[in-house]
Amino acid sequence: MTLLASPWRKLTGQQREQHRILIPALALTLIFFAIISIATGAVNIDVASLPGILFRSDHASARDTVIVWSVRLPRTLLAILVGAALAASGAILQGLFRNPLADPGLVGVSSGSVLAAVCTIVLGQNLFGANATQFLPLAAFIGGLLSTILLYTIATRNGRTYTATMLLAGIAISAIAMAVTGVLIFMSTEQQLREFTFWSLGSLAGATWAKTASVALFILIALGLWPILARGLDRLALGEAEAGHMGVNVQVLKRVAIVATALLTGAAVAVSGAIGFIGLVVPHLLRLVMSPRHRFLVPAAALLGAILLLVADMIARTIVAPAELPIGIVTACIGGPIFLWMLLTNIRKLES
Amino acid sequence: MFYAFDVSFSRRKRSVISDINLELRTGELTVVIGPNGAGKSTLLKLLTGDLKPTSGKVWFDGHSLQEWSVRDLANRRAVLSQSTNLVFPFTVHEVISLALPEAIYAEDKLAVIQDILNMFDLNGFEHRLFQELSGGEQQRVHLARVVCQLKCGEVNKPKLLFLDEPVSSLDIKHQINVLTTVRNLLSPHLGAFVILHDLNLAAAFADRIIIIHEGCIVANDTMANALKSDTLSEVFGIGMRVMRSGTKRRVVYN
Repeated sequence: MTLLASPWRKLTGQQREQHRILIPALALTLIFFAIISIATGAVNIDVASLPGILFRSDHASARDTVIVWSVRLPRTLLAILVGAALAASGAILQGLFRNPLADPGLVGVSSGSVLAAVCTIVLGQNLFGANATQFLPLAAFIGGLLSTILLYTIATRNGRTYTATMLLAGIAISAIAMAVTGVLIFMSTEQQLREFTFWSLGSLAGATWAKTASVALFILIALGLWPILARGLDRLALGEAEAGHMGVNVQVLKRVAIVATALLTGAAVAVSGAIGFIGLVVPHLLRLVMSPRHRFLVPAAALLGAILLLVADMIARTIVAPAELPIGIVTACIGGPIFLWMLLTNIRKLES
Repeated sequence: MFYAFDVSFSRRKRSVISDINLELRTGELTVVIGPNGAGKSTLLKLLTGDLKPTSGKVWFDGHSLQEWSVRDLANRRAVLSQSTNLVFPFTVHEVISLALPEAIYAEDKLAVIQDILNMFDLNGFEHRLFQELSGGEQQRVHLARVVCQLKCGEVNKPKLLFLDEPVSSLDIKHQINVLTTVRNLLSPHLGAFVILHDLNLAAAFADRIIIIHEGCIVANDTMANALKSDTLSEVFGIGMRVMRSGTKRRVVYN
């Protein structure tokens, strides 16, 4: 069974030991793009003056300092966090489902989060008053958690996840979540309606330090679970029974993986809406060039996801400047064709 | 040290295994034979804890199987299932190292794995992708993984190897190699429970043979005593004759 064969896959195992170089290289690339991201936008800032601005030297222009500190920096950090969260949650979800086509956006986890978030906006004001938005990350996490558990229960029988069932169940869960979301939209006010566009297409616009900080905790905690999960997910690749024979407590592993995925997706959705395809594409591309062992795959995915989302965000806010494209459109333009290619290279396996 | 007491298992009210009692000892190679659907794999799954018996109990080294934690059990017994598929492009080296316990995992484990690769004629395979191997090669890699797990498990404690049709996709040379390797692994601390289809392989390698028919044990005895022409003919439904020469046995079809 050759999963997702491609010419790249002819790399030998020894060549794949590149994670030793790959992970530091990805980290450097991320820093590079972070600097570019801070420097570009409606107002371009000279890269040479950045150190002065970042360390708040007296020579830096006051206007540039304000732009960098209150607009670009929180937005860049948010893009990094969200990109890392989406890609890492994709990698963990794929390990859990033993399936390279699992993605929080495709299988309904994101729509569960979106529904919960929208509920909080529309109905939360009655419950929590004006503070409703503070509960967004928590609500999105619970929504993601519920939909992941539901999906796992439907799609996994006797320790085996069927690709077709998983994708179809994902469509069904998304459809139900969208229907309920639709009802809420119908009930909503003009102002709330504007916010929905943001949720359904995904956007990093309006990033603030408060927003960034509120999700950083969720995302960092969930990413911190990765060393506990890595060995178990590797062994799970052989099947649930085999993982159990090798000493993995499969039930605990699955619960931790589901919670980690829901935390990552929920946090990402809470601040940026439903940004699709990052979780699908990033782990897949990495597995073409490196070992699929989760110890290396998850951190590499987090880095590459951060890079991709950072680049997508730069495209989103510069391509039609001064207006801004929702970032979900950009990631869908990149991710959609790659998803199609993955399906086509897998067609025989999927139809069996 | 491994016991099954009155173990029964039914699936949708249909009895698959009924009232099986058996003991597995270390130092012995126990081979299970029987026609398709006799309940061989179900018995193996009951003994490994994959299935819970409808009634009866399985004991391992003084404790009922439910009392064992998965981690402790993994140090003492390893299981090769009949069909194992692997998602994601792991190399042979990575597949085998999945079996290594955490403590060894971090250290330099090349020597352990090299040793295991030699045992199963897999030299030079370590960096090949598992998914690009032939069926027989994949089966040997899984065997190597399972044996690696037991080799790295606890020392000087009774251990058991469960193999469900370990040679089904192998050529004749590797069938002999694999079973010889398993025999050589036997020690006062290690026993093996192997499901085989080839009666002559069973005759050549087993210390003890269990014959299963319609969920019941028909024979459970030393190889020489268990293999009888009339029992085999009745169980498998075709005429068979057991040829004797000294302690060896050979089964021929009429």
